Amino acid sequence: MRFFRNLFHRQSDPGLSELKDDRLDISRREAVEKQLPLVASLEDNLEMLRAVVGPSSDVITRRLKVGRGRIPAALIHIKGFVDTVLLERITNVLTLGLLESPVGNASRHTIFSEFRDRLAQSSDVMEVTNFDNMWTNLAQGHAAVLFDGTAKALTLNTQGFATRAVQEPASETVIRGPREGFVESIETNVSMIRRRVRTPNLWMEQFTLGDLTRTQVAIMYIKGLASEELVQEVRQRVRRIKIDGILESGYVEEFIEDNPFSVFPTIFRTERPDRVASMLLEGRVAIFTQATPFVLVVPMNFFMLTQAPDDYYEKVPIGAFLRLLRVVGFWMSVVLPGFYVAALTFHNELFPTDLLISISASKEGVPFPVLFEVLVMEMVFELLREAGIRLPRAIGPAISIVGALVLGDAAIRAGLVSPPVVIIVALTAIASFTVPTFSYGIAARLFRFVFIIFGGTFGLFGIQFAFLAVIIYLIGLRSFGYPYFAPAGPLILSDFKDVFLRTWWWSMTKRPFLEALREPVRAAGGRRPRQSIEKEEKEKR
Amino acid sequence: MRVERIANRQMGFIIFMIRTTFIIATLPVLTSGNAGQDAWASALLTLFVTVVIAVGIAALGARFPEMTVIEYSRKLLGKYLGGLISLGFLWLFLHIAATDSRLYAEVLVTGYLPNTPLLFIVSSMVVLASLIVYQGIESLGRLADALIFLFTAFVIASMLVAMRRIDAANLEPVLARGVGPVLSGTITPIAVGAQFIGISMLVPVLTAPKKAVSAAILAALLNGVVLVLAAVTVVGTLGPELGSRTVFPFFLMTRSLELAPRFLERVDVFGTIAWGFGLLIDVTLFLYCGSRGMSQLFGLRDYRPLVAPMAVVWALLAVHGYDDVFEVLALFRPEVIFPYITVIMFVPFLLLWAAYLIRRL
Amino acid sequence: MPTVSRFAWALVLCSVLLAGCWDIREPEELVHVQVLGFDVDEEGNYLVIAQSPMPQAAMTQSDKGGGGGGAAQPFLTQSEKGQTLSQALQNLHRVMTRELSLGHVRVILLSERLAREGIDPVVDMVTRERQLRLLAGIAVVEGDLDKLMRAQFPPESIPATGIGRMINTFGRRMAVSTSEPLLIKVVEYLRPGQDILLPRVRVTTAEPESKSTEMPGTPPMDMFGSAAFCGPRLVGWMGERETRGWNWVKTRNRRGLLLVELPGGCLASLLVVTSSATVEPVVDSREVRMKVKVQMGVSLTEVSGPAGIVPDLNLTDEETVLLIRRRLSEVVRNDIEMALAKAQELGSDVFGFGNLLYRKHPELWAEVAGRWEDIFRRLPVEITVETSLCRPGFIMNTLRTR
Repeated sequence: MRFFRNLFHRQSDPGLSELKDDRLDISRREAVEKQLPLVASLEDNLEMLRAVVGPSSDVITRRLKVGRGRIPAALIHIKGFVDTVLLERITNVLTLGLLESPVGNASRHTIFSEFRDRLAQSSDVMEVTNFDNMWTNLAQGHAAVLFDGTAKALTLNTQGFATRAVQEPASETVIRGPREGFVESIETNVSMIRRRVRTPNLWMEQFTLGDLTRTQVAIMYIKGLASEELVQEVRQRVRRIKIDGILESGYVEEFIEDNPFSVFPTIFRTERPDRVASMLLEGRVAIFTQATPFVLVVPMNFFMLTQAPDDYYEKVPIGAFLRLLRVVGFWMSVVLPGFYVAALTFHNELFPTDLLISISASKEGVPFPVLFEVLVMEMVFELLREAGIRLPRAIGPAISIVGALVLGDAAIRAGLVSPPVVIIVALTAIASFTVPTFSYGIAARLFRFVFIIFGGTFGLFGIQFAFLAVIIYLIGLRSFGYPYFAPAGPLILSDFKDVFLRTWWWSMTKRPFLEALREPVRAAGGRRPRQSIEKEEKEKR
Repeated sequence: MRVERIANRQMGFIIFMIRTTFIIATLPVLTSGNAGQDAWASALLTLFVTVVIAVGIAALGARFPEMTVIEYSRKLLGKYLGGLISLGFLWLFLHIAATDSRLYAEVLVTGYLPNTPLLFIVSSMVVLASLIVYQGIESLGRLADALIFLFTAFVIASMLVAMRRIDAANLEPVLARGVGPVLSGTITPIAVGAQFIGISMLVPVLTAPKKAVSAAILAALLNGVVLVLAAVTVVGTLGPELGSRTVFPFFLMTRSLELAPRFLERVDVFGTIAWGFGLLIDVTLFLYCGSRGMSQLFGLRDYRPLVAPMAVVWALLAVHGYDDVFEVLALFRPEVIFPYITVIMFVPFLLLWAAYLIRRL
Repeated sequence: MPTVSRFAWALVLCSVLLAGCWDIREPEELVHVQVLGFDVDEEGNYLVIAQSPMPQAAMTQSDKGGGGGGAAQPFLTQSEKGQTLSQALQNLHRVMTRELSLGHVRVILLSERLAREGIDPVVDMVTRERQLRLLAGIAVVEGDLDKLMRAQFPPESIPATGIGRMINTFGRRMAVSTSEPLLIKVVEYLRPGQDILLPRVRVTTAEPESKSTEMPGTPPMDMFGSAAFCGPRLVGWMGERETRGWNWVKTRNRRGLLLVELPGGCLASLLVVTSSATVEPVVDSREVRMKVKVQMGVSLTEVSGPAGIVPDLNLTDEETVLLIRRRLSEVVRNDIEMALAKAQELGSDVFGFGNLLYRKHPELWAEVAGRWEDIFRRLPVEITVETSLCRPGFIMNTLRTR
């Protein structure tokens, strides 16, 4: 039935009359609308608008009779998308301004071009000839001016919708470093990067994705630094996206990943413009998505998960120590509970005797096996954490008090769990919070359960097995063709300046090896700061 | 299809790890030989001979940068003789990997998991190995890259802890019984140098096949240093008598030491984990060599379909190829292993070299 | 490839879910033996005594803040017999509610009778067994081993802690005893031409039945000298001075207090600061001699006289220092001579002179190995002692009242 209908429609001419049919399905509607041309008659154009947008009251049409010739014209905009001051000014020009200027004498045929060239008070003016383009511009906050007798519309940029003010990003806070975070507007986000990287070679390519949402997605890279193959690959993968809507960069991410089933994210995401800028400088490509503060960066590698933005701003010994702490924290959060289970139930000789005795003393009377105990406590912890995130701020602390104090204490007193397990779970939790990016914490959590189960069934052999399996898994992953586990596997020694530790900027003269093959050198060598160079030279003499 | 390549460095790591694992696993072949307290001298001698073996294998490979040993042996020696030799090599791959994983399983069962079936331990390692082989040889290279630091750190840590306990008296008298026992002590380790045959399968996938020799020499040298150090440490701590009567001397040594009382009392975990890492590399390499070689012998385009069946054979041979640990160790007796390796590997390689040189003339 | 890889992962998962946990032991299913005693009875059966802490009792005690004097003992001692040590260990399970775990054995105690019959089975089991490690300490108990292992150990709530500390630390700190982990003793045991010396523990509890009369705060044992072996058999005891002499030659334990008599009946207490020794075999026309050279540095800790006599010590006088050094050398030489005499009397080459010969003159050793015990009994040993007074402490001359 549908097939026949489509067949029928495809044969008929696209037209206004068809749009008025309520039975028209969305895909057909969109197809028809794409092909609607603007016509010379203003009334026809306005009727077309009505037919397309229907009774939507936010699309506002102001009819005017402009110039001395009282030429019918219309000013169209979408409420809430435009800056009212700018709009007022345009209205003013169209009414009073036109009367006062010589352009007011223009005829029905010339008024469009006269107005465009001489009076349109906007730096971003576009001429559109079909309805679809006009709508696209309207939906970006332009105002459209139509004159009777011209089969074109003029769109003027009057953008001015309300966005969230630039704030400190919630998911990536720093002690030292810029407090700016991305917002939901792609224009603002892009401008934040431009403000940081001012070279004209910062290139940006824009795509509109999502058939219905028509979301703007932009890729950004430094031309000549980012590998052409990489840019081409990103471009192709982004172009391949075909979906009705894109509401967040997560949609894009899932379409362009290398390993869709991977637990670890292979595409980096951040809310911080400084991080995006620093990654662009390493030859990576950023992907911006309209209406989300999360910007994607490719390619990423595994070790980026322990990098926090502070590392690069804080003094090196401190930053290096903190990063090392995070590396330890990450692995601890993955391995510790599993190791505890394995060591306690399989290799008790690993514990010092006194510790073992106190652990087994506290385990006396606990009715569950260690494996079960740890698994349940980890689950409880995960529940608490999830509940804490979802809850309104005001009752979040309450939950943590109930969860941590009441539940934990009561469970121990009731003899349901042994205190060491609670300590282990708490330690793991603290360790997992050191991982700077939330999404990696999640991956670590999933793997933690794997380690617990393997450790609890096969002891340290199981832990080793799970560890090797994770490593093998990581080694097989790729991010846009770049090995995910680099620089550890494949081993790139020169990149270790920025993996577990960070060296000083003056000694980090090279960009990451793989990402910046084209232009490896980033800083001049031998610029280590010295005390008073003159004095030293004198001494030499 | 893209040709997968590994760096020469990665091949060096792979060979180094495999050989070092062999040291951890089967040091008794050194100490239980007749060398006794002179095991270090045997080790030193082994070092030089194994370097020669490594060079012999790698240099021939470098002459045929596009071919594995399976391919060039048929080119050099003709279809039938070459095929026969290749079959021998294939069996050797299988045998090395099976023996190594059996030893690993034995030590785990002896030391930690007395009730766990051998088959389980062996097959979990083989499953991991086949995963890597499926991912391709590049994954093996990267795995070696990723594990080399941990591996080396663990091996060095266990030896460093032991070095405090070295008693020089255990190493005397020096060469008291002449060089005879020392020489006879080298036979088995040299024969186990057969592991270097892995190089001959790796050369064509190297980024710089012509430079394979230097990587092989480096790996063999470093490994020889570890071998000498391990021989000194084990005999120095356990003494020649205990050292030669132990099934897994390195393991017994790490078991008998503590790093810090009341805190880190057990260091054997480090050694065992390093062993596990090395074993995985070992099994993976030979599984790759086996399936790749087999596919070339039978003219298949891709080796991957062979991996799963071969993995099963691997695991079964490791478990059922030997009735008990005595049989495994009996293999390492000089009078058994030396003729075996000579027939299956040394002679074929001499033949290949001869054929190559004759062709050149 | 992805399908195969996914299949492999699935296989891994299945193996986890289907396979059993063969070697899992929940902590509450185990008791961790800390002290293991080996004995042998008249019929030749081995007796194993295992002492292990009871976690439950340990917990209740600590909860009560040490107030539970009459509470259950925080440890458990049980013994069983068997034809072999392992069988005896196995038989222990008859009377145990939990499985024995030997991974935490700190000390192995041998009864005198077992030591006299031969310690071969112990050495074999200790090196062969899966859980025992050569890190444990070892000692020979003179007296009732069973009673020792059942007795309270006053300052410590768990006797094993006390036994372990006494054997593993006292023996390592004081030159009048010897204590080293099993590894070293076993390695020595296996060396040709070497006999071992193990620490000797005396059971001091007079009346173990009447616990109430026991002196509070005193452990039921003391460390006194050492036990000399000849091959696998205990052949005799060495006293404190003899053990000390042995230590000076072997330089195992360098700490010790030496008393030197000064003219006028005063005693100077000297603490050993440095000590080193070299032993050199000298072979003259097939006759073997040993040259022992001991160097020792001491510091003065006390000078005291018998009642009524005020010591007069002038350390600024070189003569005095020389005198102290000379006397000290005598004391040390006496120690060594006593040790040597005892060892030769017992025919136990605890100094490892034979091993030294084996190491330095292997061809000669090959000839004499068979009759080494006889040779050792008559072995001439030259002893040279060099001493120095390193520092006098905080004061030079003795303080005197006017």
